[in-house]
Amino acid sequence: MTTTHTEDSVSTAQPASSFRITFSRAQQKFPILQLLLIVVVLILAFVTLPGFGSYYSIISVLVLAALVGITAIGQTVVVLTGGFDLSVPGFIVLGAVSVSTIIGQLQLGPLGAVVMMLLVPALLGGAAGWLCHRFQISPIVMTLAMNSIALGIAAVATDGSVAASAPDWLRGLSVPVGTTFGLPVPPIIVIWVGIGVLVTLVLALTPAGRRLYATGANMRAADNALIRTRWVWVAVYAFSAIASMVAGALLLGFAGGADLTLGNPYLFLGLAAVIVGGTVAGGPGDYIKTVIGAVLITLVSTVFIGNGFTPADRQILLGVIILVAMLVYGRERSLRDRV
Amino acid sequence: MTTITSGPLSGTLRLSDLSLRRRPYLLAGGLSLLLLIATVIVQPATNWSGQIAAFAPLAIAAMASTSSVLGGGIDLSISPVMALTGILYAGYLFPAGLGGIEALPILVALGALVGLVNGFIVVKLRLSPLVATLAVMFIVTGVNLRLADRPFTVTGDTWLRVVSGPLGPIPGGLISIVIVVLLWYALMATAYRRSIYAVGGNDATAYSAGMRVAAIRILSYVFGSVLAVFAGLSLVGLTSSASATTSSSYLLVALAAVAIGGTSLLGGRGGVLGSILGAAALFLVQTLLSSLGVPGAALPLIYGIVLAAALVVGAAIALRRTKR
Repeated sequence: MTTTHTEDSVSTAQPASSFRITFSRAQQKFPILQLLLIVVVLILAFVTLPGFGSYYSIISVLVLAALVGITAIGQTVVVLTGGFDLSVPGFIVLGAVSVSTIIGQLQLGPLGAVVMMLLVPALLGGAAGWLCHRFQISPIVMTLAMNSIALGIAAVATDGSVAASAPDWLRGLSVPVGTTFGLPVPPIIVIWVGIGVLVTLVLALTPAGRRLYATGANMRAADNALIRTRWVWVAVYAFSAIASMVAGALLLGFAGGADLTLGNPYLFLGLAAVIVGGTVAGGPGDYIKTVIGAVLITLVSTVFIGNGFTPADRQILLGVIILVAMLVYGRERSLRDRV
Repeated sequence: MTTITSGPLSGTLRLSDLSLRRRPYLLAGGLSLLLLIATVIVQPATNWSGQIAAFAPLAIAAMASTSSVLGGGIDLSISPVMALTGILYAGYLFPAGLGGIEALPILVALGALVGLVNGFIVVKLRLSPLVATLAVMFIVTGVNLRLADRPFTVTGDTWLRVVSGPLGPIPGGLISIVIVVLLWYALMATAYRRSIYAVGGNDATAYSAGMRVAAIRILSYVFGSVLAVFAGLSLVGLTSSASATTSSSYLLVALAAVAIGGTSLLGGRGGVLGSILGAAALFLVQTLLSSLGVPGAALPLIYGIVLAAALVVGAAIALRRTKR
């Protein structure tokens, strides 16, 4: 903190630039700008959409945000290590099909269900992470291959007729009028909050979280600090695959049925939530930012569609939001400064 | 510098020229050759003219993706630009009587504009290439959806059909591939070639050496988008239709073809020959599997395993090369 004194003298001379420094520091720690945007969009929603203020319409928005947020859990963690996971849609479909068809058809029982939902994605995702790290393959293409493999398993296991329907208990999780232990909140939101708190705590407070941030910030430095970065990558991609499987099960409950395209919109929506929230490849970032990003994206979509704009306009707006968000905090260093 | 040489054009062919380490595209080439032989054995009556016509859009899309990847970037907007080209031609220019060759400069200018925007965002606004082109992908896809609320069809014999259909003994699609390859090598015959490999290899070093890194990078995005226009036109020539749903179908396969072809996604290594061969391998896997009568459900599984295996073998060879 040797700079405190100089900063004070700057602040008397140029109050504006000092405010900018303080703001950009705070923005890096917490997504203030995104929260402000959420408030603006909320006001817009209350003014332009009659009936938006009702309890159930807000809960409905939160259910949609929960789906985006849950599919972005794995992506957040992978992006923090500097990679990208394109296998999210494949594991979403595999998760949905596992719950609806595979576990019941093969009569796997509770133990088999755990193996199917945890061990299979852990092996596939872990293999992707291991191979990428060992052979220095770009995660973008490797997870693309894994996406195809996961989709293929889902298709083969259901004989190509991936038109599964959701069991009733799963549907109940994401009904806006649903309740959780007597609370008037659908279970999926409670699940989202639970997972969100867990992921945030693990990232912020545990040695595992610190190893992950260190690996993302500088792999060679992390290696020198005796962090086994290869196993960090294995764990990260395995976790992402498991998270996508769980997200797939929840999505199945929300959509009521599943086919091979169930996960497609959520790859880029999840990635957009991570980026808009302010998590940068290789860090800094955390899951709270992704949650705020997911809420912001969903809210903007709702307001736009409620005001008669088409899904096409929403796509364009999403692109513009990503650009604006990144311009505010995601710019890279100038080449001149890296020489 | 050995990795830059694109082929054994000069002197006698030595055994070391066949080394996979020096010529990473040979892996994709060998794989394609094996698949080709297998396909011929399994299905001797394959309509190769039609197959090459169907292959052309993927091959050109892979070449288009190679351009920005060589410079250390990536372009996710290649596939939406292809769809945009098709929609504008089939839905707007053709009905307006501009379906002739005069459509080409209009569409190329538009593609160059998208590439310019990409390059500007990446280089001048300094956003990560993946994020920047993802945003542009969203925007162009949205524009596509707006412009084409229904699929458009092209009727009658246009010049596109001539280029992508069989012309005498020349199989369809080959002409469009050759045109794009010629464009690529024309650009690579200039000083741009050395510049783009230098920038992709290490941009800070290239900058220190006085290269105009910003201009070179922007040009790589512009050139990629222009090639995407050609890919889009060859797709229209093939299917005589265009719709917004094709916006993402070539997005990731083209990148996979680039990676299998031995072009490093970190930039500075590889070339267009590898991308064509990589695209051929990915295309032939599907042809072979379907002529073997493999049920459609198993296709993505086998496809994914082949892709992963090819990536690992290619990367293992590249790794030994860099360690030496």
